[in-house]
Amino acid sequence: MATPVSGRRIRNMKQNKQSEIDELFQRWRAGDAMAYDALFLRLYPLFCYYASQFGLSSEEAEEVVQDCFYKLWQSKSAISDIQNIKAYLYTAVRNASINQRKMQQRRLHRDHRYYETLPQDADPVDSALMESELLMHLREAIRSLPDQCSRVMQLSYEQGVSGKEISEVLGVTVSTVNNQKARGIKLLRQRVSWQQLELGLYILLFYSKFF
Amino acid sequence: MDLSSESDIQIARLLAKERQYDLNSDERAVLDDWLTADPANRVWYDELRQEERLLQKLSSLHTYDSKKALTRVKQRIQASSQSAMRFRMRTLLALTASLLVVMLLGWWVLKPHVVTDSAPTDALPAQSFATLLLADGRTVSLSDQQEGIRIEGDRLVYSDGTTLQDLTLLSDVQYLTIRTPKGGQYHITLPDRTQVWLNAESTLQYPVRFTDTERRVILTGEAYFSVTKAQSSAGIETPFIVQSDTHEVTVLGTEFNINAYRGEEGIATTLVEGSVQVHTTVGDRPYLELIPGEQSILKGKKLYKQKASIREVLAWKEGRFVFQNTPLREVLHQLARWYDVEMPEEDNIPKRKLTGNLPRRVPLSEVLRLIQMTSGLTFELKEGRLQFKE
Repeated sequence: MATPVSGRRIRNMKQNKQSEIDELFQRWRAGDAMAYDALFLRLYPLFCYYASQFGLSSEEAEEVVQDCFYKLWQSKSAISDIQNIKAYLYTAVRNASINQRKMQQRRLHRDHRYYETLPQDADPVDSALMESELLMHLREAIRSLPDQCSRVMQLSYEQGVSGKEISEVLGVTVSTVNNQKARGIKLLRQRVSWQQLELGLYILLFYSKFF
Repeated sequence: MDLSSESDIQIARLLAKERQYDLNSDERAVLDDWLTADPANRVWYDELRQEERLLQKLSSLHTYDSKKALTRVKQRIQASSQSAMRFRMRTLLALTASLLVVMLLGWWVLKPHVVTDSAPTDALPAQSFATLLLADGRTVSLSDQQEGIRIEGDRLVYSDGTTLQDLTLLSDVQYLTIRTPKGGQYHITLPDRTQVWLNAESTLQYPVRFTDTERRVILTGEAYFSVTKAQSSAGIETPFIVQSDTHEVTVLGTEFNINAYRGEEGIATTLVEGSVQVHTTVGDRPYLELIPGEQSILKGKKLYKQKASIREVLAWKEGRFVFQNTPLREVLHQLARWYDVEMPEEDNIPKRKLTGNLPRRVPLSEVLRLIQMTSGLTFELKEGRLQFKE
């Protein structure tokens, strides 16, 4: 099932994805405010999910990520050394989330020392990062599926709508919905599975470089 | 992997079923057999499940509303850039303001004092006038040609010695009441030769003669006291007590200012010389002592003390307005009392602080002009009320 893909093709795919983000970032720095919006809309859910992996509620995660994006804007003139915007944001969101979590723990257990028992190792971070990346790409992959299949997948998995309701919304039979779901998963498997590994590795590579 | 065979179709059905419901033990056994039959099956199964797990998590990404969040961040960015701009503007304004203050003060000192005709949009400063209320209910307007009154023997006389009232018919313990209106100010010498400067819109009640045990006066509004030492016939020092509502200041001989206007920033007692004790019947702390330069505040039930700017507190007595980071509301209160005009609507008063030192003996318009030039805030007088102009 995991179709072997040539190294060149992997590199091209991933470079396209990455360069899109980086291009938006460069355009924003060159003075294009719209590029910031596009960058934000594109990356926001990803980093919220990432932040939530540090034990924050979704509201807190949003707070942290909004704060990071706000600071990114504010430090626009001082960020000439950022080569990889995603790696920068991963670091910023990670640190802010950990701080937020520690603050909470301290508030909750001021008399105890529970916050010292917070996970200190880097492992949960890395897997959270990989998972965030995967989810993001899965999401984008779903959007690139054939129309009806894409709708069914979005309704079913992103919005948690039941098969019966989807059939009513789209005006098709339940079995069509199920077929489209099966087809969607099959297509995703072809498109995503090979990406899973190397995207994760790719991000990790940049991530570790950044530190 | 090939799902074409009969058994594979069964497995696929089981896998699908497993995702939606639980399998019964027979079905579970079939699936387990299939899983152990070939390691590739296990790999495929795990991957399928992982994909499924990931897909399920997609719904958590969906909970994050990027557009709404972007709007919020944009608002924050805008707000901060505006406040940064405001900050820069404010710094610039403050610099300009200080320069103007220096220039204007110089101009004030040097310019020949011309009495300007006061248009109806202006108000003249307070005069020396007040009303005397006698214990029997009679009221006497105190001459604005005289700066103050004192008790001399059995007579109440003006400061130049002219008799104002014969007090022989009043008993010793009866109280006289001096009331200054807005825009009025008066100087009173008490029977023990204690000097009192009564600010505008204030009331002082005092007995025709003090008793041996205490010298008690009642104040609302603001007054400056210069208290003489007094001894009873037995040689014991008689305390001087200023009572304002639930607040009492007890002294032996000293100089201090009490600001007890109702409904303002509490009652403030500022000590200039000697020592005083401040008592209260409502505070959580019943009593404290001040040393010169200190100020006690009774606000609600809180009695506390702080360092005071004597210059600012006594400015009214010296014929000046002195503001040092004074809230605009307080500045306007002082102007309203001094020029006998109404305050602007509470909601229309910007939250600002002013610093400045101006003479009191000028028309209101001059003061408003100075405030406008130094703070950029424009006020005008309309139908006797100060109004803030955007």
